[in-house]
Amino acid sequence: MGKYILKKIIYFFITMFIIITATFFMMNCMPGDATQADTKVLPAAVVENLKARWGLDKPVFERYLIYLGNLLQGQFGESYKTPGMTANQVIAERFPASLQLGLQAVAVGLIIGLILGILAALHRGRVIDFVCIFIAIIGVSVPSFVFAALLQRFAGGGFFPIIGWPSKGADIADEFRYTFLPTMSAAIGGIATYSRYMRSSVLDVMGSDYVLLAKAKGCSRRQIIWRHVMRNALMPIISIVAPQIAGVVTGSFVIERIFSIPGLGRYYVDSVNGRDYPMIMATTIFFAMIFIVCMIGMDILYAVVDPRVRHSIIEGKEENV
Amino acid sequence: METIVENEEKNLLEVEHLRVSFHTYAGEVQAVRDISYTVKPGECLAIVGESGSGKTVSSKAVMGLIEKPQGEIKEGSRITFDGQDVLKFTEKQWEKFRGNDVAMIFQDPMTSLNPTTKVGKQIVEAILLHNKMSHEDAAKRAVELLRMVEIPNPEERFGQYPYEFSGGMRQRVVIAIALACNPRLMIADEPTTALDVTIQAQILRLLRKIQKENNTAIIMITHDLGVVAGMADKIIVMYSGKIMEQGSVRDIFYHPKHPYTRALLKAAPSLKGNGKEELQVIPGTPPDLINPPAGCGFSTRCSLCLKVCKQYPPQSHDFGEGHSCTCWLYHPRTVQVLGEEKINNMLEEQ
Repeated sequence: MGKYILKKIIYFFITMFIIITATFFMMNCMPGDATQADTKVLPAAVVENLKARWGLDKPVFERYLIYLGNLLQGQFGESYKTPGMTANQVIAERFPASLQLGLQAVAVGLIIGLILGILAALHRGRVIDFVCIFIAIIGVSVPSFVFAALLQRFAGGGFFPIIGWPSKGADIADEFRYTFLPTMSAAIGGIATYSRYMRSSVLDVMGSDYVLLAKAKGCSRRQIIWRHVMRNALMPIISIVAPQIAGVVTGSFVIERIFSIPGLGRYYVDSVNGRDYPMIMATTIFFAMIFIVCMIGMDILYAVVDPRVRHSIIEGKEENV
Repeated sequence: METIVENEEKNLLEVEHLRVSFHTYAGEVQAVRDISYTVKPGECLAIVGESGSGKTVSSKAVMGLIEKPQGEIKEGSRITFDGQDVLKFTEKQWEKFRGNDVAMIFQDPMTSLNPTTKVGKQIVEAILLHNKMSHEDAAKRAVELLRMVEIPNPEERFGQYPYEFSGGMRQRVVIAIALACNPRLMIADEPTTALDVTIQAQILRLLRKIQKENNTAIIMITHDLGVVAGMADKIIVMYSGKIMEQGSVRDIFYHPKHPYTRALLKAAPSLKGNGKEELQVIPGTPPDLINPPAGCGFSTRCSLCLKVCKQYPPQSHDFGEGHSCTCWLYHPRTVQVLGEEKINNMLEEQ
């Protein structure tokens, strides 16, 4: 077990190192730099000055080493576009909103998606099944921003504010009012995906020999579903949820824009357009970290649900982990 | 049913005119087409036939495991277990019946146990479904069952997951689950097909032991005549959803009547000889049961096929002592026209 964790940690650092290096050099391959990213043409002297201040006058490889040194001290560096703020501060300030939106969206998506998927599977070929298929098709084919706009138009304005985000320390009612529409908009894709996966997963398990054996034992339909189907049907879902959590938690650029949510998603795009090197690096590293943590979380969850995986981890035989 | 006086003992299971169909996109598959048989308490009946001959479907019908609405047990079918008409059961009655009166063992032990539930718990579940007892008592009984199916260290094995068991051991667990409530009939659907030959022998020996000790009737479904030989009291040979021939093991192995049974027995590879003989096969494939042939199901592959075989379904002919065969060759008219000698010659040369 300890060996397993140690191995995961070592892999984590190796992966991070590769991501950092690759991003750093790819970023430097992009044409232009922060001084040219604006529509305004800066005087040569100012450009010179800025480059010296940001260290852009040094050769790429030297900058890379300096950057690594800073990283080891936990410093992502000062943002070019928002002077006076380090990338660390930007993330600390902006991430909570993205995290909250993301977690709520995944939770809502999972709850509704799984319920729909199970219902569809248990009533295969009947009305409920077709309703679920309809919802799923809508969910995957209509972009989330269209949903966001429709929700704003038809549900927003009254009880639910059209834009905005609860400030720190807002009460539950406000939290709900402000976050409901963005959460639903961000969740719709998940609802569609999870419900389809869950449906096929449940059907798969329902058709398995051990469910037939359970029936032959004399289990009622309800006992079969709760004792034998659910746990086994959830396993494939874990592997699709983990990467999705990472994706949603790191901020949905579009949803955050539409609802004016002070999240991190915007910075991801803006930093690339503005050649804001420290922000590009900081957001990439941060997202990568979250992604890997989610994947490790997935492995652990697998071990909790599936005794075969647990066994191979404890025994240290992890060919299949 | 005419009463057979030879054995006073009442039948445990009576299947009469059972017909089962499956509704598919391609049409109605008539998987079982009018079969009748009986099983007495403590008796072992073997149903033999190739894939798609309807042997599994006919036994699933006994357990009420034909899934509606795709599967349909046709009007006029009757299944009686210990005097109860099971086809009239409500879902609640089925639940009480399954596992308690009749238990089933499936073909593939690798997939018939729930992979995320401990083996002991799966046996305990079966016990508690039909018996009012404490969890501890059920656990004790489960360990007892594991011992009965000859699993070493049953106490330790009780708390393990299926992946920690080999195929043969898993099949023993499945048998333990089947035995949980002392069923009067056990249906074993190719219980040894997925196992290697030595394990197969062990499992068969175990089933025989259980049959003797508990006086459990067994319906053994298999496509392997070798499995049947040492085990069964009676054999039913099925083909294209119908019973071709039935009789005692002696009748079927030493006095087979039906050309299909004879071909099957010839197709079994022999351990005698130098191993260089060519393997006998039955050419062709079973008929499409969406449009079953008007005549005998085997007529398309039968080397002795007569004109009448293709046009009219043959009737069952009784040879006494429960041995019967459904074939035109034994029809009085055929015998009259061809002469007994010629028919015997044909069978000899088959």
